[in-house]
Amino acid sequence: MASSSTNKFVLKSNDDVSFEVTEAVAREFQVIAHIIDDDCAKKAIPLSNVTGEILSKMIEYGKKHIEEAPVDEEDEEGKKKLQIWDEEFMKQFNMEIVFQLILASNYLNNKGLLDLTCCTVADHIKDMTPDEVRTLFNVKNDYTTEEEEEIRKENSWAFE
Amino acid sequence: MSSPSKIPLTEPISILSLHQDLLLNCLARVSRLDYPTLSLVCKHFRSTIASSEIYKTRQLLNRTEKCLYFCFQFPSEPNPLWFTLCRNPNRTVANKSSGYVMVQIQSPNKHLHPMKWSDLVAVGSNIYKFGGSDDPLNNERKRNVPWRSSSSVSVLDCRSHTWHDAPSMGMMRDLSASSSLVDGKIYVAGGCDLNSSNRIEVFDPKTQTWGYVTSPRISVKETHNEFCVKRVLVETLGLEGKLYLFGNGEFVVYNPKEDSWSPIGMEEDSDISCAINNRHCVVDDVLFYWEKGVFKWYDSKVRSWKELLGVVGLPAFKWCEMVDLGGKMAVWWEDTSPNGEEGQIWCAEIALERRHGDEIWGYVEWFDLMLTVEATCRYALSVSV
Repeated sequence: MASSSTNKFVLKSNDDVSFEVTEAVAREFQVIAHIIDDDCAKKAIPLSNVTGEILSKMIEYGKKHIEEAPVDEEDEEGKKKLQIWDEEFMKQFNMEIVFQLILASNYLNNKGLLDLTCCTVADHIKDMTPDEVRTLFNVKNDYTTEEEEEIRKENSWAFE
Repeated sequence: MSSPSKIPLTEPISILSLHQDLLLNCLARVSRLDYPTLSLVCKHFRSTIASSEIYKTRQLLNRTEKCLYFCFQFPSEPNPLWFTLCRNPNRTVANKSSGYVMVQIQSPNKHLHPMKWSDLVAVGSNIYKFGGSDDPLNNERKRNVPWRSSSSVSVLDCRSHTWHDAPSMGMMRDLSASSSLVDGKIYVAGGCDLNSSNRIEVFDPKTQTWGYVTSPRISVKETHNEFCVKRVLVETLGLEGKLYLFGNGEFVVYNPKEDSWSPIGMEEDSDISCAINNRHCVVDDVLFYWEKGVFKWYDSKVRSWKELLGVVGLPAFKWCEMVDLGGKMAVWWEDTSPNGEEGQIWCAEIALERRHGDEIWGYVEWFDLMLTVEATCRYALSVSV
């Protein structure tokens, strides 16, 4: 059996974009690792829920985390380096892409990327007003004016 | 109107289109201080952050954080009111406010009645209240008579803001009981009948069971209740895995691992007792106290008090209360308004840093006026939620 660094697999997005990756990178995604283990990965692996644009970003993330994986638990410097890369990596995306990355990393089961993307969402909320949160996350205010007033009034003494 | 098939694929995704598990995964990582803001975003956000799932997720993700809770008794209110600190959803960047506000907890409950004198301890996300009377009918009288006894234990769950009962103590204790946390277990001492033999009880919140600790032979302060029954008056302090007990000029320390009491000699640690007579708190196993405008900490290596360095910028206050806030120190104090008619409750957060091994520096991260009130406050605690 070929080693995981030379063994290659092809991942195919739902809009027919194909990516050739090493087995190690493919295994970064739990769902794909299972497909490989079940020996069902002879041909291209079709990923029906992921677009080529998102898949390319996920592979970029997976590659980096294979190449720059910290040596061990004590490798603080390695962890820090990867963390900085993660932060920079996320900066390039708008919220739309972040949501798609959350869905895709959940679908392909990559815990690291799911954590990172969910953290990005949470970090955005800090220091925002309710209105800003609605705009950023595309949420409609479904409170009536009276209901909203009521919730604010629950804390009126403290919020005045 | 366009037909559904013509809706472009690029229509922006709403966060609400994420599966509930994924929404929980995101919102659980948001600071609890921002939850009032989230509750105003939409109904689904509001119900999500009010669910028990969000707190399970926070625990799973190791995202619990220390939050401040305050219990105040105001003269015009029959019952004590509970507040928690959070960030103001209505804040504006323009003003100089810290952005923090105290928000009153909405949880009317019979257990709120007896809260004003009894001793409170926070463990995890719960606040425990031991002993004291819980007879609301006597509320008016109790203001002057804080000495009723009971063995009841009430718990405020700071995730749901609801009260429930925990197993009762073995002994009746009044509101002068003193409780401390040592290695995750709660020790309750004092507040009981002077003639009773077993005076110290220990509660394990994990197993929800009570046990007794053999009492040390020390002289204790006495006080009388309304029926002229002598009561035990002691103070306790949990520090470095041990329970310190302060009686009438005598101090002893209990080591739970060896189940043994030892006296504190003049040469060792006896000056820890000066903290007990002042406002104090324990942060990361270091004992701090405040006296005459200076914060001090106890260096157990050299057995002496040292000044907390670098604390600048705080307004002057006559007294303050201190609370451990997950490695930081929260401080709050009361002042009077410029016209002298109202009380003001101020709060500050001080980050702590150890330098050169034997210095601790404090940095005032923020301080602000939190509430303008009639007067009189009691307690502050921090819980992990």
